[in-house]
Amino acid sequence: MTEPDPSLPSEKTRARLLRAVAAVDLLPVRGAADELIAPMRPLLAQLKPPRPLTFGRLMFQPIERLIIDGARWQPGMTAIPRTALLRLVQLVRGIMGGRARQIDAMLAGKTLADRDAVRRVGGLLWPAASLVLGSASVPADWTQATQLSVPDFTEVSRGLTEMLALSDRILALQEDVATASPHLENRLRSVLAGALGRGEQAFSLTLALLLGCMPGDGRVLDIGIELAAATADQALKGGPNRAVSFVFSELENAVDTALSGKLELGAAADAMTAISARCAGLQGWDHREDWRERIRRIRSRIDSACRERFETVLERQLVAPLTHLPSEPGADSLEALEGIARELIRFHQAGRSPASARNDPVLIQFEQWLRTKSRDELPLTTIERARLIEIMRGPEAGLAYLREAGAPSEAAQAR
Amino acid sequence: MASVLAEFSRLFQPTTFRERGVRLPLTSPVLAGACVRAGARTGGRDEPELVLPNPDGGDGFFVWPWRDLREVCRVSIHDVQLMDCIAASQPILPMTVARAAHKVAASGVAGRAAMDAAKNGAAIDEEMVRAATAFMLESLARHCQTQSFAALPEPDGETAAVTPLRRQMAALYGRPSNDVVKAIEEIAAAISVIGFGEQAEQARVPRLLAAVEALHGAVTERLEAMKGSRASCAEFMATASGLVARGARRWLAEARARFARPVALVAAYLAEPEPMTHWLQRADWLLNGWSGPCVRRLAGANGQNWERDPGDIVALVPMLPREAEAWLTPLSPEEARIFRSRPARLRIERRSHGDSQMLIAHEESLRAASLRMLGV
Repeated sequence: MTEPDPSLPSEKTRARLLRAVAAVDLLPVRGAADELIAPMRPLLAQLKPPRPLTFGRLMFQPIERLIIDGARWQPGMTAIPRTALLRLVQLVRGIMGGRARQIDAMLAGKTLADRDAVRRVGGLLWPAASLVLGSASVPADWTQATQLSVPDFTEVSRGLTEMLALSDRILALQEDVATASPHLENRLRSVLAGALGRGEQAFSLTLALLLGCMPGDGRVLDIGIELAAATADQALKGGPNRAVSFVFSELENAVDTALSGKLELGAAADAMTAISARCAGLQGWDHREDWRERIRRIRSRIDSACRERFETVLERQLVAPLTHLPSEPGADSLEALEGIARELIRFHQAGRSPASARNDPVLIQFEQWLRTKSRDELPLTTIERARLIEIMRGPEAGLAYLREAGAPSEAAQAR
Repeated sequence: MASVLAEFSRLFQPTTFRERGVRLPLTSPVLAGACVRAGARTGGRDEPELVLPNPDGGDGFFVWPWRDLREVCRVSIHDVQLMDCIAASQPILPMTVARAAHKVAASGVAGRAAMDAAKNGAAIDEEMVRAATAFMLESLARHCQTQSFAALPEPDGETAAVTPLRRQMAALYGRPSNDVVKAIEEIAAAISVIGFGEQAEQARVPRLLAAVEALHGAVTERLEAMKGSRASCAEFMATASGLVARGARRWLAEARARFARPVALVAAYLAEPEPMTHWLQRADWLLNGWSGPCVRRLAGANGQNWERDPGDIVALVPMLPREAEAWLTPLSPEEARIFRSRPARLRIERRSHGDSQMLIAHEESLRAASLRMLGV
């Protein structure tokens, strides 16, 4: 397993990366520059740079959760491939002409954090873009620009046309979720019913989007299944399954990203905490055996992959450097190792129950290792060992070690 | 729960500093803002008890005997050792708690940075006490040389080894030499924390006072630019820090003037030891707990972090008991109001062990910064 380059997260690198992203954001046509920052996306998600509100970013804002890397996209998937975005924006802008430039002017100086601008200008852009895209022909350079086939254009543009038409209502629903509005359920039912009326693709895309926006709220899937069951259309009846499959595949992808080593350990711990919360939200998704089986597989993958990365990092980044400490280790090296131990334990606990995390045999073994190594083998004082035990196993274990090691307590000395 | 002695009322206003307790430099997130005070007396000792702000962020405080608290929440090794040390080194005063905190930090349980800073601070403190004691003895010796004593007290069994100076001091004050030495030691300890001579500003009280004054200046300067709840927090912090700084500065000037006449000071101490002891501790009590807000401002990026959420710092501003009113008079109406208000409260979230460890690391870095920058 590849561990992250320790030089990546340095302040200097972060600042350089943020400057690069800001420069790319200002380019009218991003193309190759966009590809350059693609490998950095997990890190960017962690850094959360302020993003200018551009025409393209506004166009896809309400359905951002449905956008996936082009390499992962397959025909029939409930998602929009990222490689198609730029060409679709150019297509819409070209047809809208002067109206697109008016929207540009309205967005000048705004960022994605400006919710009022998103709502106001988006309310003008989304219906117009939906109309334009619904009647657009496939651009001549489509395949060259997007690496997608001509039939893919039909599928992607049709799905996007439907979603743009619903974007206003989806955004309002997302705001209801954020404010825990009492009208949430009515609005949810109305949005899903509206999507159902626009056909199978709109229905499954909307359901997939809302399942992602409202993890843990069982009403989304229940209402989706109820609406699908009430139709005679077999394609519509399959909508919930397609949407749920997309959520599963996103979750699997998030797990792979979190455990791939592209993220710093701390960011991976944050990601695993979020993934665990999403998994907990799948508790009620027991409508079909294949769904139950997929959830079991995801949980098992999280457990085994977490354990694998934990053990690898523990060995490579903590045990090995501890063993190679000089006989009088400096404050900086000890603090750095304690920092790794803290990130490691946060990662360790992110995907597990507190009881199973505490009693993990690997942690118990690590404590034993700290306890039994001689001063020659491990040049740490009793207090330094107790601190590492405290970090990894808790203060009770650290205090028990201090007592057993016969370290004089401060109270005894004070007396 | 049996361990809870009392939940103070919404309008809890401690009458004295001893009732409020001494603010503790703890590292466990769950004990943020805790004070320690003397609880039930058992076996000739005061059992320490903690006065904790309501962890839900609501009104009121909780009082827990220390030994019971350990059974219901996870407390860091540093905090366990500090509380055990406080329990063993009585009475519970800002000075004894500060010494215990230095000692525990110097053992390394709060990390290397805090250990190095505490060891350095302890060496400075010891040197200050030695120098202050030497100054007192030298002053008294000089004074004794100018006196003609009819007869020096004869050494008795206990004081057979006393030096001529001790016998002269006993004659000067008409008291056993041990009483005089105890007075000198207590006064010297007080001088060591307020400082004297060329190194005066390096002592603990002047350093902390300067930090509170700087905090007051920084907050006052930004008051007009702040709005809403942030403004009311900043206003509270500006008024409270200004009030405490003014009281401590006034006391410091008075103390330095009195310490310049050590002969009279010892006489005053021997005549009425209790009021003098309380007077000697006054600045320590007034400034107790302010290192937390000060170091959070100083440790922030360019000193500006507090502006984003002043509530975080304000929640740590120590409460002033009614006893302080007499020390700080005259009070403006705004200053009088702060004795009864608290614009921000602590809210302590339940966290996993891993997340708690990250917060403990942060507290340890602040602890090291406080020891390094403020000596406390």
